[in-house]
Amino acid sequence: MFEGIYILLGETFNIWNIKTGNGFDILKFSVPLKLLFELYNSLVSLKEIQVIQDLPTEKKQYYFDISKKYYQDTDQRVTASKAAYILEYLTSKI
Amino acid sequence: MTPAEARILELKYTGKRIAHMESDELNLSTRKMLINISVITGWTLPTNEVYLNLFVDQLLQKMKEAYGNITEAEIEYAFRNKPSDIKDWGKPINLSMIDEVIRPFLEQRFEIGEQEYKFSSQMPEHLLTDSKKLDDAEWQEWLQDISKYEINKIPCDSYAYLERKGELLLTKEQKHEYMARSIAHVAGILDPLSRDYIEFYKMRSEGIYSAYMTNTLITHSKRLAVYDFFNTKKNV
Repeated sequence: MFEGIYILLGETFNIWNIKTGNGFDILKFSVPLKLLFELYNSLVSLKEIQVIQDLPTEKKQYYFDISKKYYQDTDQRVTASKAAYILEYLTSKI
Repeated sequence: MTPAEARILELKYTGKRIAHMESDELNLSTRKMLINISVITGWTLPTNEVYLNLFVDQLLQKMKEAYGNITEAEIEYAFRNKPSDIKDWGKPINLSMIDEVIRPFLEQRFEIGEQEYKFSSQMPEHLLTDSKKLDDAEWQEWLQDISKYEINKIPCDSYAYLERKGELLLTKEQKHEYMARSIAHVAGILDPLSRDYIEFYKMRSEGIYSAYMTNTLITHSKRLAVYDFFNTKKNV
């Protein structure tokens, strides 16, 4: 049932990127953030994507910097980093 | 007022109304709401990107046309607290399903809004009790003082008091004039996009007001008369 939601999230990211250059703004909303985080966990357990820790350092830093824009707390920033990573993964598939 | 009604009233003043949102802000807000609605209800979103974007566009239009007077928080509240007989789980979402949830909420909100308006026009209980303890001179002094500040704070029974004392005697024409001012006042304070305004406009066009509205207009007219009485006296 979440397929349509993930497509909408990806589309929103793309459209928002074109309009404002801040596609990651959807990470500030709690429901999209949790959905993306859960998708990250599912895809990692299915071994469809690399865990974020295994990404190159500059890529990890890139996602962590994005999360800094929306959250201060370290745990929330880790969640948002994973959500940002999965959001880019999703949009590369659309 | 029940806790649920108080919550609806609180949400009415939380965040920006749909009609006041900029185009981009409404676009993002609608997409966010759609995701939340899907999570709350289990209704599925289209998986075809073209169809999904067309649906979002239509929903955006619907937001502007029909839900302009409410906030994003109110829409989400309506879905979280929707009646249990609403169609559920696994169905593809459409505008009619959304409308089935929002429409009863709008009706409930309208009724609560009427109560709110009624309460705001009434004098607080403690003022009524206190005023009974005052003698004539103190009562007049207090009335004169309060009349300087805000019309809505003037006690409703002050007009009857001044009339009884023979100090404020209005002709039929003057009463009609105050009534016309009250009608203009109520028309001025209502949001032109609200259901309250549409109801009021209809009554005004037909020249027939509901009992509740008649009472509101009479109360405001009396307050205006008292306000003018003290402020004119002061200026003389």
